[in-house]
Amino acid sequence: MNSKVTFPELVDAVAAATESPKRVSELFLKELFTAIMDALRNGESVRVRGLGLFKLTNVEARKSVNVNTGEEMEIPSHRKVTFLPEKGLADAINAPFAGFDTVVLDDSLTEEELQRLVSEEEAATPRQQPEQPAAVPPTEEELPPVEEALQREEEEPAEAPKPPVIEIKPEDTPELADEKEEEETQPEAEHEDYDDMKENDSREDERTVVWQPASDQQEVIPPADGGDYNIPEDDEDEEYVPDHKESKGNDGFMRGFIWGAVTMFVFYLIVGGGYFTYQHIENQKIIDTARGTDSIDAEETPEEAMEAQPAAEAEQPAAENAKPAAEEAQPAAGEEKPAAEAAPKAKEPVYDEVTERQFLSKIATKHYGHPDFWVYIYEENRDIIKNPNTIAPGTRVVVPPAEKYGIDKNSKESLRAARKKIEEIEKGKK
Amino acid sequence: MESKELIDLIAHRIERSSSDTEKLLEGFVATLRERCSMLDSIAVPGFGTFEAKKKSERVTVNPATGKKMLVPPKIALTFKASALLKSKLK
Repeated sequence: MNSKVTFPELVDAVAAATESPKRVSELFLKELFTAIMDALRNGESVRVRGLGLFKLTNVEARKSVNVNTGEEMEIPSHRKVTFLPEKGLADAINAPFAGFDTVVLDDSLTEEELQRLVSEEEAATPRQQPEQPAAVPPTEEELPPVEEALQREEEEPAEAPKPPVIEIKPEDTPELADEKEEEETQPEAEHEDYDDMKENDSREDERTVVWQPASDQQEVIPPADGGDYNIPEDDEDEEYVPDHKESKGNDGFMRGFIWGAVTMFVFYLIVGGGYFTYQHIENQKIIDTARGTDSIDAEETPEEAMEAQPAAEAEQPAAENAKPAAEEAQPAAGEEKPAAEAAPKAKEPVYDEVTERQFLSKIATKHYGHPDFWVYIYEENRDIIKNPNTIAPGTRVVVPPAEKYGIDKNSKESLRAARKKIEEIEKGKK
Repeated sequence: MESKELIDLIAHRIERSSSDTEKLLEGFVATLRERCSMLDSIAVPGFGTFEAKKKSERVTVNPATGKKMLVPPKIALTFKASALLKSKLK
């Protein structure tokens, strides 16, 4: 395999094949090649029966650059020899792949789907190991803490085979705006739950190390579902282990495979949730800074806001069955605060102060439960605020009652209206 | 130059009959086929190298219809001319 046949070896082989003396076969081979060479030199193409056609082609002169000196030079026009093997010979050499035909692909099939098909095929044949490389690439795009977590995860359930292709589904992660409210409105209660979880599950504890850098403002609490999912995860591993040890053929393997896939999926739910919380907090910061500083151009603000919010919105319907229950409980609790605050507002105007740390969006979050409603505070204070992105710290603004503009953070129409307004304002400035 | 002419020329030069020469040529082709099927390469000094190369599968687009096509992998026999042959042809 892949060895080089030298001329003497060729002479021996030909002599053996034709049962003629080596001297004759050597002479013949030498003459054969010199004859072909001579004919080529005279500008003739040579056809050898059983072998193929040695053809002369002209190569046009072209410009090139000397890689060492960087000098431009011209490669003069010349002739070169190309070899076209005869059909019989080509087919004989291609025999291992003779069964394949060119397939016309469906237009709808994309590159990724093709890749997935290929990797699934590969996963079906070998038993375990080759799946791991497929699992690695997507994680490289993740944040470093996530990678660490992944490594840890890979170490822990050492026996669990990995699914062939890991699809990170950010849509499945919990609603972020709600999470944030959880953190702001009832950190105490959450924290207690979390401590319980810690006692129950030492692995959860490890994960918090990963979670810490995700936020620098408050303790970050893993999504409520984290605990729920983690406990069954352990059960899975326990159940799985005996299966694997027995390893009685395909059945055991398939079961193990499914358990592994479920474990990884659950893990990504948890990690994905953390990642999105982090991103959301970051976005919030960017929005806040954008509104508080004068140097940043006006365009950036709505775009950032738009990116962060619809993403969060899209996640809600996709969330798994278990989550909506937990989530619904949170907004309900979070609602009480703004509602309570909104009540007295109807009678007397509420004032708040713009500071270096608190911009309109922050005020809006405080009073209405969503940063996008800052636009209404701006509307109400147009006489004081000329540019919502540059407000002098210490400016006192009137916070209009929520009912005046139909502000409802749980209503998508209300949010949409606020965003539309933001866009209009941005356009008006241009 | 066609095969017949070439065989006659070689037969004349090695002072053997055309049928013998033809047999030798067949022997050479059989050897080449056998070794190249094993993905070996055959180097002929001063002339060039015959080598079987595996070409991996690829997706092409038919420019006329715009259809994507999956071209299967194949093993192709390639010939690379030696430096001597190249310089003689220039």
